[in-house]
Amino acid sequence: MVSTAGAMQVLQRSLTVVQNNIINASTAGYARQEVSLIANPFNPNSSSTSGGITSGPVTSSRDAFVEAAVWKTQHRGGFADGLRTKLTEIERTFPLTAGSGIPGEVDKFFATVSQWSVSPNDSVARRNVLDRAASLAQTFNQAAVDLGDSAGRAGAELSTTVQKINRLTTQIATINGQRRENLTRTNDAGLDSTLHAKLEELSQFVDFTALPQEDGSVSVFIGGQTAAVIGDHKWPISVANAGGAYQIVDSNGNDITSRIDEGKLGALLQFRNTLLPVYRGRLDTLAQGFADNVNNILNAGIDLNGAAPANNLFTYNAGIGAASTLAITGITSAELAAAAVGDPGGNTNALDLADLQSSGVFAGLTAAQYYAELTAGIGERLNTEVANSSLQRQLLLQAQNVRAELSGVDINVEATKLLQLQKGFQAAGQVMSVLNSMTETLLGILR
Amino acid sequence: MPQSTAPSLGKAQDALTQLATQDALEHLQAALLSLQGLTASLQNGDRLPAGEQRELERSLLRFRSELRDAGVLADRGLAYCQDWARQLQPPAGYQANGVFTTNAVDRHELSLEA
Repeated sequence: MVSTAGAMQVLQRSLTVVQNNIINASTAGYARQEVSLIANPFNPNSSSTSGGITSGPVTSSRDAFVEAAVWKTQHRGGFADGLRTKLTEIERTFPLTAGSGIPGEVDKFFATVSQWSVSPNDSVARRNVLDRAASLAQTFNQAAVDLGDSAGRAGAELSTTVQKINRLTTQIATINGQRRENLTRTNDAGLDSTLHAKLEELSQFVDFTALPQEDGSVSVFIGGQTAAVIGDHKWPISVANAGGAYQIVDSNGNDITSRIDEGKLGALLQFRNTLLPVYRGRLDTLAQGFADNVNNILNAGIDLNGAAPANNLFTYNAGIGAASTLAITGITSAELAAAAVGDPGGNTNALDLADLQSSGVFAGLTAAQYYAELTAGIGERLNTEVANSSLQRQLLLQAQNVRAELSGVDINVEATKLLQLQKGFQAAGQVMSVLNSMTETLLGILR
Repeated sequence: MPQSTAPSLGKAQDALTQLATQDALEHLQAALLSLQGLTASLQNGDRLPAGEQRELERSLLRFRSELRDAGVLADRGLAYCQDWARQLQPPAGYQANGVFTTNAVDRHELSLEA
């Protein structure tokens, strides 16, 4: 009877595990649980070894390597998705549609210069050149403002992402504490699934290494080196702005930026600290080079009064940024130098300015070609990240499918298992009924 | 000469607790054959010495006790399965427009009734 009572408990436990699997079939992070069974020693001549069966520990079907593969794919996918989003945002700042954006304004400027070179002394043509120059300067200003806004948003997103990471590491530390408090909870499938759901969420934001400990806790190291969670202790990270570049700082104030190169945090850092400064620098180079070349050509001629120009057409502050500060000076239309020195009333200088449109003044490239190279660079990087994002999404799906096959709960399998069990128990009951009848008959014969 | 002991159901009980119902059935069928042989032998008029007859009777009483325990295990397992089978049934009902709808998928078409 002792053996039977124990067997009853084992049966109950086995079925409870099946029940728990079915309940959690759709729970994020849940891994199928299995109960192991251990046969007791059996010796018919000894009352202390009466046989029967004992249930062993409930084991999780979770595979640490498959989990790590899912996290790794999430790190890379988070990085590609993050960069794709940010590059798509700034791609709108550099339109390639004919007649729009900076190249459209450059074309319109040179069109007015061309008209002016035909009628160098016409006041309307001169006025048009000034108006177009002002409009071109404003377009550069707007592009710089857009990049500045994008930088500001990236900075804000860095702060938000760090907050999310800290919230998740706090939750992981709390779960670790619960698992450490009671070691038997180490096998608590509910806590285990919550922990792994949090780790998977964290893997989108930052790359980390998770090391399971003997006490049931999981230690998390950001970038594989910086301790974020050990047991129930957590070390939050923070964002610092150092000379315009953003840094990720650990709880001791150490700069750990170089360790973070994947996840959404890695994407934001690369965008904000590396890519955006490059694009802003090229935009400034274009604005400054364009303004300098136009000013130099105009300063080489004489104005409507036959005098050397007193003012430049364009002005900018290179220290702040040529694109953001580009403007026209207080130059009057009469001060525009259309004629060459010694040729008052002529158009030689205006023609030289018109030729600037096809001159390779940016390391052999025209202004339009330099702009095209800048936008092509952004477009190529965007295409790379779109392809990466798509690839990582497929890889993630594959990794998740492998995990589902290894440790997921297939509700159809569990339902079929229940059906088979039920029929088996029914058949056993019928055979037992016959056995009971036969036993009674035999006892009747013997008596 | 009939055997003087009834078969044991220990293995069948272990199999039931391991949810190995097929194994349990095999052990039960073996016990059934054993009892059938014993019954046939006794009905043919074979007689046992008095001591062995008492031993067989005790053995059959023990077997009946084991059978009762195994029956409890089977009833409990069956009840559990039926309970869970009911909970796996999909939500279904009549909509406002009178159409009966169900989220049934393949697994729900399995009948768990005997």
